Amino acid sequence: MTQAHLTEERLQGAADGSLDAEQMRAVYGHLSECESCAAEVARLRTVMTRAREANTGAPSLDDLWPAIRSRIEESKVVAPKAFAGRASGASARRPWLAIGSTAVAAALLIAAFTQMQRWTPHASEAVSPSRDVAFASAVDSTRFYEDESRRLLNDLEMQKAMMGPSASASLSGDLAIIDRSIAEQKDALARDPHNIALQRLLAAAYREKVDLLRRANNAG
Amino acid sequence: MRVSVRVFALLCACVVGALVPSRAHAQHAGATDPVLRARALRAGSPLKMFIPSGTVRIVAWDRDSIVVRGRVPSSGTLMFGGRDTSGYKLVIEQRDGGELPESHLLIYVPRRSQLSLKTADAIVDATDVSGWFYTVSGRYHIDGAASSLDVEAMSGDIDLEATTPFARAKTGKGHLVVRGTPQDVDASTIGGTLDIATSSIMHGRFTSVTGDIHYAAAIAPHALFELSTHSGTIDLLLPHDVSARLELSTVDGEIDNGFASVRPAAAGVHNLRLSLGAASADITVRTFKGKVIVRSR
Repeated sequence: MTQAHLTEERLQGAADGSLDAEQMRAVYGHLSECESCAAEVARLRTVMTRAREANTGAPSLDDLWPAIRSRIEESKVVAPKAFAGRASGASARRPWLAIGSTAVAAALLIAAFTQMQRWTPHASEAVSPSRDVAFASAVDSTRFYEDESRRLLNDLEMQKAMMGPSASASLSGDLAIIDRSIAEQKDALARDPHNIALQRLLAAAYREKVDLLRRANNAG
Repeated sequence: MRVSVRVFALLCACVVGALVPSRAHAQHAGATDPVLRARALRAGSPLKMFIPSGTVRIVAWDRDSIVVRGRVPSSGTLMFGGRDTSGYKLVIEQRDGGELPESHLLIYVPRRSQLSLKTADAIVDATDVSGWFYTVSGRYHIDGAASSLDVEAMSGDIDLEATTPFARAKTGKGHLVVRGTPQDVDASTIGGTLDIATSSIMHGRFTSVTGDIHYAAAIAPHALFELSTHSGTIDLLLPHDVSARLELSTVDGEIDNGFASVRPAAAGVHNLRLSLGAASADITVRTFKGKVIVRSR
């Protein structure tokens, strides 16, 4: 692939030193030859230095927190202590209520824990919910077109008898091409099950198959 | 003597060369061919036609009638159905045991008629008509203005050169060309080449399984394109000042970036994101193992 300049990611990495040793060697090799990228890295470093300098005079969040906390406490209508006191009073008057609510809370916690054990999110899903939605939609499309192609293939058996030899040969050849591409894409997906581009390509291949089978139904 | 033989051979070649196209041209029905049918027909009415083989020229005109001129061989019969002016059915029927009748027809239809034309291997040339067009292994060339076009072929060629808000074209191993001024286009092939040469498309979906896709035109501002193949090459030839955001990815192919002077927003071995100009249009390219080429004119 032809690539004349470093990507934004690499430029940032070179400026803040977050690249690993091998990447750094490659990047510095490029910077020694490319004035434009070297200037961009220098500019990014200047920006970072200024940002750090601007931060040094300001107090940290840890320093500010006690004052913020006290302002929050002051603004509360009901102090936590008073609320705790009333609650304990109510429990004292109705002990069955406290026991019941504790049992319900425990059951909810166990149910939640069980669900968490079953649901093991993948790294990519956890990182980007929108990507997750797009992936799920690609899977749904694939499933829909796969089901539809299966249904149309069943219908086609009757149509084939009425089809001319040239249309029939064309259909068989095209179906073989699409099925080969689907098989290759499924193999690749088995190796890389969360590749969204692959999933979309598979959906497109099934859509192509559905279109072909619908066209074939008109050929008789 | 040797020279005169050469000159003669050259002359013969010229005569044969001149005759071949004129013979081919003579196959098409013309305005001087006999009128086979003529009926009143309201504009916007549906017309269903089945013309299996031969040549068909369809022209929309500003009259409330349908006129069919041309020749139908003895192996076929022209059937014309419909009792009033609200729609007709035209069928070239094959006589028992005969070959596919190769008819040569010139059909005038009222403008805005909704056509439904099916052929086996006929060569069709249509102007200013809309509707559904189907062939097994024939050829379609459609130009002029249309409200919508839906053209399907099992293995035939399709050449869309029309002005239309919506066009859908699908073929197997045929050659598919999209030009003219369509706005919303859904075009696909299985093994055939797909050529796109128009800058009017606002929303385009172009797919192929093993065929190559070539796009050679400017990109309309705010256009949205999606191109994908399994193993075919996708070749985008864009103006040097194009304004588009390109997202290119391939699972097992390679990407050849002709806009090397532009810093990519992201790049890897099998993917590339480029922002060109003001990046007003969005182009997504995906292949499984086909090559992706982006070039500037």
